[in-house]
Amino acid sequence: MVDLSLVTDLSRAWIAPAFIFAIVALGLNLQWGHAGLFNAGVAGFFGIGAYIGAIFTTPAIGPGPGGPGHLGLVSLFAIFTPYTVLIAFLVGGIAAMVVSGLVGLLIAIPTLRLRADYLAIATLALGAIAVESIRNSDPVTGGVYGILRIPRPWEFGQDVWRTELAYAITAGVIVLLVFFLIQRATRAPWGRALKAIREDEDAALALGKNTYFLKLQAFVIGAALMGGAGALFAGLLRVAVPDSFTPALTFSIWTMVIVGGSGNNKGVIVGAFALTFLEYFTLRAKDWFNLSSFWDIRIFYLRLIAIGLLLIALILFRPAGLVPEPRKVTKKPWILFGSR
Amino acid sequence: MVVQFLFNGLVQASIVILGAIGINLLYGVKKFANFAHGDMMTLGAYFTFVFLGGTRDLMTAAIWAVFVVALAGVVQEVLIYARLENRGPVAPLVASIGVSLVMQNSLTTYFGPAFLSYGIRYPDNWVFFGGAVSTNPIRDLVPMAVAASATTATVVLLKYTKLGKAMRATADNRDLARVSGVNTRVVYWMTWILAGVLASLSGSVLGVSIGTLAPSMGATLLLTMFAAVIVGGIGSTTGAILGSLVVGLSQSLFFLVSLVSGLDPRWQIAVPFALLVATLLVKPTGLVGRPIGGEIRPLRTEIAEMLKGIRRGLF
Amino acid sequence: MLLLEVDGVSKSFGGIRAVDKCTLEVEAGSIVGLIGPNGAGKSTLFNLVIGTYSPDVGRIVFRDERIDGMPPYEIVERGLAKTFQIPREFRSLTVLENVMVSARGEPGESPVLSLLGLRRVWRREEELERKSRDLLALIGLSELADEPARNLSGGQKKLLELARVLVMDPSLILLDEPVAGVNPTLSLKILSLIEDLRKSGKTFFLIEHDMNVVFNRCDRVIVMHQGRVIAEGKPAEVRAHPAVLESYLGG
Ligand SMILES: Nc1ncnc2c1ncn2[C@@H]1O[C@H](COP(=O)(O)OP(=O)(O)OP(=O)(O)O)[C@@H](O)[C@H]1O
Ligand SMILES: [Mg+2]
Repeated sequence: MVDLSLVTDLSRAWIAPAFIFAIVALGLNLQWGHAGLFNAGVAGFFGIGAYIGAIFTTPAIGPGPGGPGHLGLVSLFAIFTPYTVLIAFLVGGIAAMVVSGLVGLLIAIPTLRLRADYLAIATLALGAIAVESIRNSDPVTGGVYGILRIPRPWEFGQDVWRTELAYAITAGVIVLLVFFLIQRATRAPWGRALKAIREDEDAALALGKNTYFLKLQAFVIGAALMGGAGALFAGLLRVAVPDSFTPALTFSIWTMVIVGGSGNNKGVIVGAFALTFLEYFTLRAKDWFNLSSFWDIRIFYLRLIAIGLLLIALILFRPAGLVPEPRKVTKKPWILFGSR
Repeated sequence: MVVQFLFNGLVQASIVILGAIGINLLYGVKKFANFAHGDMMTLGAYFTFVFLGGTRDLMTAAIWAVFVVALAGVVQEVLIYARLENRGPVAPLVASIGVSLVMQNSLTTYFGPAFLSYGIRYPDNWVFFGGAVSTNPIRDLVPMAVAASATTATVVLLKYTKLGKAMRATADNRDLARVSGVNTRVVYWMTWILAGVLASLSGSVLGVSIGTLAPSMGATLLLTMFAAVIVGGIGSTTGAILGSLVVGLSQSLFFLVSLVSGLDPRWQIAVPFALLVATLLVKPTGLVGRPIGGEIRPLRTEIAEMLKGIRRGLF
Repeated sequence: MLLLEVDGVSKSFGGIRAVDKCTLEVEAGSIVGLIGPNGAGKSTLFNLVIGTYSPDVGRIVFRDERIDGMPPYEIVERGLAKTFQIPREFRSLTVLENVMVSARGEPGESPVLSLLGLRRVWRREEELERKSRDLLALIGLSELADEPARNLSGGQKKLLELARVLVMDPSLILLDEPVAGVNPTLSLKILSLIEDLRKSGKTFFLIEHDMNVVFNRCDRVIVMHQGRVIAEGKPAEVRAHPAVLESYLGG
C-alpha cells in the first residue's frame, strides 16, 4: 500500500493550484502576451471571482462571521436534483466569470484609449480596491473572517486523497478546455490582429483595425478567465479570505507568463507549474530540510525575492521568455462546424 | 472641526507630495511608471532606523538614509533601466515590479515582518484658533515642514538651474536634447538621485508621522501617489503637487463625511481610486497635464465604436 | 468624378500649424502627386484623410460622404488606404502575416467566429493567403514570406508597406514616399505597377520628393508649403509656377 498522503498533499498544494494558476496565466497571456495589455490587478479579478463563486455556492450559516448574505445555491438545488453541488459549482463559476468580466469591462472602457501604462496604474488600483472592498463588506463577504466551508463537487469522505485528486483532475480538465479554446482563437485571424496591435497599435489603427474593440475583447475575456479560476480556487481552499489575493499573487502570475514566454499558451502552463512548485517547495521546505524557525518564517520572503530577481532577469535578458512564441501565428484548426 | 480635517488632509498630502513628485519626474524623464517607488520610501524609512542606531539623532539619520536611497536609485538605473531604454513603457514597468518585490522582501527578510519604531516621544498637541485645530508638532508639523521645503527646493531646482532645464529638455524630447548637447545619461542619474532623495525623505517622514515602520508601508501608499499624479496630470510637477493636495484633502474630507453620515470610514481607501477613475473618464490629462502619446479620442466616440462593433456581430 | 475633396482643413500641434486651410481635390482614376519641402505638412494631411488625426476645422469628403472625424477603420472600410512614410511593420509577425493581417473585413477577426472554427472562415483565410502570396510575388518578397518582418531591409519594408495596402483592395491609395530608399530598378517596377493598377481603376495620391517621378508619372501635382497648398495643376504648369520655383524647386 503506497502512502496516499503524498497524493493528497501534491494534489492539494501543487497540482490543483498549478492548474488553477495556469488558467489565470492563460487569461493574462491573452491580455498581455497576445494583445500587449498590462494588467497589474490580476489578484483583484481572481479574488472577485473567488468571492462570487463562494457567495453563490455556500449555504448561509446564520449570523456571525462568515454568515449572512450568501445565496447558497447548494441548498437551493437540493430540492430539485442530486447533483446539487456540481450544478451550484458550475453556476457559481459562470457567475464569477461574468462578474469579473464586467469589472474588467468597466475598468477597460476609460483606460484602453490611453497610453499602455494608464491601464497598468488603473488595474493596480483596481486590484487594491477589490481586496479592500471585500475586506470592508462584512455583511456580504464576511470581512476579514471571509467565507468558510465552501462546498465543492466530488467529496469522498474518509478518502481524502480521492477528494483532492478528483478536484485536481477537474481543474486539469478545465485547463485543457481553456487551453484548447484560447489556442484556437489566438491562432485564428483574431489572434493575429491582437498581435498586430501589440506590435504597433498606431499602425494597426491606420490599417483599419478597430483596435479599441479588439483590445476590449481580449481584456474582458482574460478578466473573465481570471474570475472563473478564482471560483475554482475558492473551492480548492474551501475558504475565501481577503489575504489570499495580495499583489504578490499578481506578480507571481506575471512571472509564470514571462517564464513561459508571453504569447506562448503552452509555455505559460509550464510556467504555472514551475512557479507553483517553487511555492510548494517553500511551503514544505521546513519538513524536508529541518529549517530553523528563523528561516522557516523567512523562506516565503526569499521566494518573493527570487520571483523579483527572475522577473528582472527575464525582462533584461530573455524578453521573449524561456519558451518563445511560435514564429507563425495563424494555423488552421480542426473544422468544427459548417461544410464547404 | 472642518478646519481640523482640512489640516489633517494637508498632513496626508505632504507625505504623498514627495513621492508623487518623484514618480512624476521619473515618468517624465524615463517615460515609465515606477512601481517600486513606494518601496524606495520604505527603504528610506528603514535606513533611517538603521542609522538612528548609530547617530541617535533622527535628522542626521534621515540625511544618511537619503544618500543610501539616492544611491539605490542610481544603481537601479545603471543595472536595469539603462538597458531598457528603447523597449517602450511596459518593460521597465515590469522590471520595477521585480525591483519592488526584491526591495520589500529583502527588508522583511532582514528586519522581520514585525513593526519597528523610531522610539520618538511625541510631545503634547499644540492648539490653535481657540481649539479649532489641534496638532502634534512632531507627528504633523514636521512632515508638513519637510514636504514644503523639499517641494520648494525641487521646484526651484527644476525651474532655475541648468540641471533642471536639462531635465525638462530631456523629458520633452530626448533625442532633441541629446543633439543640443545635453548629456542625457547624467540627466537620468540626477533624476534618480532627486527621486531617491524625495522618496527617502517621505519614507522617514511617514515613519515619524505614523510612529511605526512596516515593510509594506510605502507600497500601500503607491496607489494614492499614482492617483495624485494622474489627477494632477502626468508629466507636470505642479500637477503632482495639486494632485496630492486634492487627494489628501478629499481623503480627510471623506473621513469627515463618514463621521457625519455613518458611512464606514474604512472606505476612505476607495477615495484615491474613485478620483483616479473619474480623472481617466473625464479628463485623462489631469488638472494641468499635457496629452502623452498621440491624440486621445473622447470616451463617447470609443464607446460608440464598441457598440457598433457589437452590433455588427464582430463578437 | 471627384473621389476625394479636402476643404479648408487645418491641423495644429501645440503652436505648430502643420496643415493650414488646405483645399484640394483628387479625381477618380488619376495619379496625383503631392510635393513640398520637408515639414510642409504632407504626411500630416494624409493622416488627416485616413483618420489618424481629426481636423481642427474643415471638411474631408470621400465619394460624397464626409469622413472627417470618423475613426480610421470606418474610413478604411469605405475604400481608402495609406502607407507609412517610415515603414511600420509588425515586427514579430511574418512577412506573409503582415500582409494578411491588413485585409479588410476578415470574419476570423471575431473571437466567436474564430472559436467556432467555421469552414467558411477558414476558406476565406485560405483565399486571403493565396492573394497575399501573389502580392508578395509581385513585389518580389516571396522568398521572405515566412521570415519575421523585422528581418527585412529598409527598402524591403517599403515594399511590404505597399503589399499591405494592396491587399485591402482600396479604391483610393495614399502612398507616402513609396519609392524612397528603394533601388532604381525596383522603383521603376513599382511605378509601372502603380500605372497598371490605375488602368484597372484605382486612384493614387502620392507624396514624393523625386521630381522625375512626380513630373513624369503624375497626372496632376499639388504643391504644399508651410501647411498650405501653394500651387496645383498639370506637371508642366506646376514646374513653371513662380511660387513653386521660389519656395521649393530653388530657382
Ligand atoms: N504628432 C505630431 N506632433 C507634433 N508635431 C507634429 C506631429 N506631426 C507632425 N508635426 C509637425 O508638423 C509639421 C509637418 O510635418 P509632416 O510630417 O506633415 O511634414 P512632411 O511634409 O511630411 O515632411 P517630410 O517631407 O519631411 O516627410 C512638422 O513641423 C512636424 O514637426
Ligand atoms: Mg512626410
